[in-house]
Amino acid sequence: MKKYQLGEFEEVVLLTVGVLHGDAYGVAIKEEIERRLERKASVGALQSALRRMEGKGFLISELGEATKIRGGKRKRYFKITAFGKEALDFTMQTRLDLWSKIPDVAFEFKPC
Amino acid sequence: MLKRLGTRLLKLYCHPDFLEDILGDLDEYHEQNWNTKGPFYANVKFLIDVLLLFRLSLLRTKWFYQNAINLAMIPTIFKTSFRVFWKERGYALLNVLGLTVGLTASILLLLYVESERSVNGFHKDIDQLYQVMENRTYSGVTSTNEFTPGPLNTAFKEDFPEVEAIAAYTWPYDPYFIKGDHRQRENGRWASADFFKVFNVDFIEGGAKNALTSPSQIYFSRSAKERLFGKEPALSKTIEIDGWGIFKVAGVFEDMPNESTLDFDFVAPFLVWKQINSWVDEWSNSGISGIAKLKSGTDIEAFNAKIEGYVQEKMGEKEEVAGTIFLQPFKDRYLFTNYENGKLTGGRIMYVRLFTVVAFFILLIASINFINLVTARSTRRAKEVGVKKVVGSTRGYLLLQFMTESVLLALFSALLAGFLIMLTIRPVNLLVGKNMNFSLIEPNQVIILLATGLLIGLVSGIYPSIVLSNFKAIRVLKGNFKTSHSSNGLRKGLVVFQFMISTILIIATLVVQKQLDFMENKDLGFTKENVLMVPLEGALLNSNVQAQLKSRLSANPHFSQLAFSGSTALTYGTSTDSGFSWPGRASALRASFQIIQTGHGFLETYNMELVKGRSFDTSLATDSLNIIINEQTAKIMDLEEPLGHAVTFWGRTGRIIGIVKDFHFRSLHSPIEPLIISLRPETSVILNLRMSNHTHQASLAFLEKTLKELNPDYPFEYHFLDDQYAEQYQSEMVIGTLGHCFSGIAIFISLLGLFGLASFAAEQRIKEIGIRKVLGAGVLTIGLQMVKGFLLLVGIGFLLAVPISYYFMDDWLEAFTYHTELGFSTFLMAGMASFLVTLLTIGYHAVRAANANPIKSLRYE
Repeated sequence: MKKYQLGEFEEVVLLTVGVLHGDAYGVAIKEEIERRLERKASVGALQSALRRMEGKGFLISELGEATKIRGGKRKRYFKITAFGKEALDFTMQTRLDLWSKIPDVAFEFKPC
Repeated sequence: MLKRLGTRLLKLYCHPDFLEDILGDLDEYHEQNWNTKGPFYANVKFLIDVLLLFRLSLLRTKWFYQNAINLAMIPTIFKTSFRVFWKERGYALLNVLGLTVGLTASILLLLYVESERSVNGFHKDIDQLYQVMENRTYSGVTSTNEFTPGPLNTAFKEDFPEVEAIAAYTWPYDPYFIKGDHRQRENGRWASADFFKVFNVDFIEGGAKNALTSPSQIYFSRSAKERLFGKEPALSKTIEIDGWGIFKVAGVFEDMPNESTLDFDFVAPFLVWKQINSWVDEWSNSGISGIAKLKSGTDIEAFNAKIEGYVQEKMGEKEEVAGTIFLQPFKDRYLFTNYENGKLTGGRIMYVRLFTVVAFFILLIASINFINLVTARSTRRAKEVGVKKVVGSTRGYLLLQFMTESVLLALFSALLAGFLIMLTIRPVNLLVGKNMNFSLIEPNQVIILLATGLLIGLVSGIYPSIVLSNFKAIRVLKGNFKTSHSSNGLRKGLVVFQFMISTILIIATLVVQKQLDFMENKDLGFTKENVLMVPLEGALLNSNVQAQLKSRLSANPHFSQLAFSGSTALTYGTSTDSGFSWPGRASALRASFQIIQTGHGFLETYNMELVKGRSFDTSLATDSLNIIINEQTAKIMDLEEPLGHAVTFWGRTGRIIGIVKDFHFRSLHSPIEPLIISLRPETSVILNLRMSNHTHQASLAFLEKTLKELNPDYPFEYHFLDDQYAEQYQSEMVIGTLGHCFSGIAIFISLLGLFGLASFAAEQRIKEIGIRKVLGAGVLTIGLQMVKGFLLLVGIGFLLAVPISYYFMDDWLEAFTYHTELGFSTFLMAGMASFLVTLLTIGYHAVRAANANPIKSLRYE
């Protein structure tokens, strides 16, 4: 796990950035998460997750063109890096491994 | 609103790299919310989101502007500061002078306040020590004093478990101590056995064990012991107290480190004193003091409620008025001494608080000078700021530059103030009668001094620094740059404030002075000048010797009148209620009559005026039964014809032979009390002597010679009555002197500031004045132009000061039963004074500016 440190919320954000490919900026990511996962995501949590992952190298970002909307302030678009993809793969792989190792017996619930 | 606040907050702490897009996101989100959920929700949500964005990963990494201060710039900052000081040395000097004087004055004041507060506070277990106080009510008026019934001081401990120790002690007493040929007065008390349990003094010799339980013991302070016995140990050595016999030294204790309301250089056993003062054993007689030590943690309120009826209970149903006792914390005995109708109303604490405020205001005035001078001169520095900004200086650097200048000046002033305080502390001690210490070697005091300096530097530097560093480079460098209106307005406001405070101080000082003059010149009902008082001791207590003395002195033309008496016109010893009666006295009447016991010639010596009747007559032996009363007593007796009325006073029945005009035998704080004058020469302890002329030297020499012959064992001692009178107003006089000094200092600092501002104004308007002169304006017109604005500010300050000082000083005067009136003239005088000094201060600059040759000022353009 040491190599790819990815928290649960970070994983969700990273995946959503992938989903929104090409259009992944703050508000869009927030809405997508809220819509798909039916959970609240505060701007603060989201932004800090994004910057953190950018710092770790899972994401890169660039500023878009200034538009008239939002007071002329530019949007920052995020993209997943190859390293980010690796981290996602790694996370998924470990989960799948775990799933496959669960014996069937564990899921047999007898009525008590 | 909320959104703006949020934006600002975010800008404050968000990393600038992220700021734009995060703000954009927030904006977009805000707009969505605005449309779907309404403005309020959107705004609040915005702010909450901003607050939630305060996260480590999003915070700015450099807090003080980017690359705020390069360490390499620090030497430059200091170098620039010193260059600025040198370049503007006149102003730097004004600032340093103002701050130094202000700091010196404030710190001296605070030292005084501190030393006032520390009186009594040094005793061990001070929080457990209480003075036993007594309230007595006569004709509806309750008076409070520290004299309590004697038996209380033994019974109290048995009756209340809260009392750990209680000691009775007498008023201060200074007998002669006789050791061989050596006679020496020492001041001390007679005190009962628990005394050293209450006051836990450090013993150098002997100890507190069984202290004051045997009649021959005596205890000395270290300094008294050294005066009497020298350096050698004194334990078990014997010494005679004049009139009391031989005592053996049972202990020597360390001197009190500080002032106390209960001071003693010797302590002798109470039981000796009690042998001849048996009245002490009655519950109805309150004549001695008691000091108690309660168990720690005792709730004093509850305890006082419990002991309220204690004395009455002990006395049973007697006719006499019983006092109600209560305990006052001993540490408050110095500062809280005024009781009005049984309620604590204050005391010296008023002055202590007042001086704290004055100290603060003086510092404030000095700081204001600093702010004003720097902001006024900001135009001069504007170009510097502009150029620096252009070359790449940041606001942070400029802030640091200006703050450094201000802090350096303040610290330098603080250091100077330290030296100044060391120089002045001695004279100040003499002036206020204190023993204060200040030294630059004492780390505590130096730290406080420098911390104050630093604080002043920071506080007064912050506003000008922000203003200066805020200048926009473009505007400054474009040319004709003027400071903003707001800083001009602020400056004027501050000047008004300075002069308001200074004027209030001046008015207050004038009022105090007026009251002091009033007391000095008040017709007391007797002539206090040229009256000498000599204590009667040794052979002089013998009536034959007194007669001899009288005949010798009477033969000398230097002395016009004399009387032997039990007390002077100012010192009152005793009072009575039931001891004075007359046929027709209502049994319900409760009154306290003061008593003067005297020989013949008392009224004549003091030049007291009789309203009716006559004085005591030497040829009438029956006069020893008769009494003279004052007008107050006559009023209370309420007789149709008091003269010749039968009265009984302390076992002697006689008549009222005279009514003396009311005279002030107590301080002017309190009203004149009813008084009885009784002819009892046998009780005399004082010789009252009126001298007929002003050649005091010769008279005193003659008196000394005569006394030496009649009473060879005792040194010659005397007091002047007017000195004793003045002593009653010691605290007012100290206040008066301090008031003079500090209002003077306040106005001086204010004027320094004004001087600086005026010179700056003259400099700024130099061209304007030049043009005016060219166009034909006279010197007077220009001078007035210059002066007008400043006088207006001082005038407004004065107008504001009048009602405030009226309110406070009226209150202060009320504390005196006899006081002067707050006249229009006082205010007028203060106004004129501040007007005049202002005129003188700025007049110099005005005249110089008006006389300047316009060619010089208009040469360049």
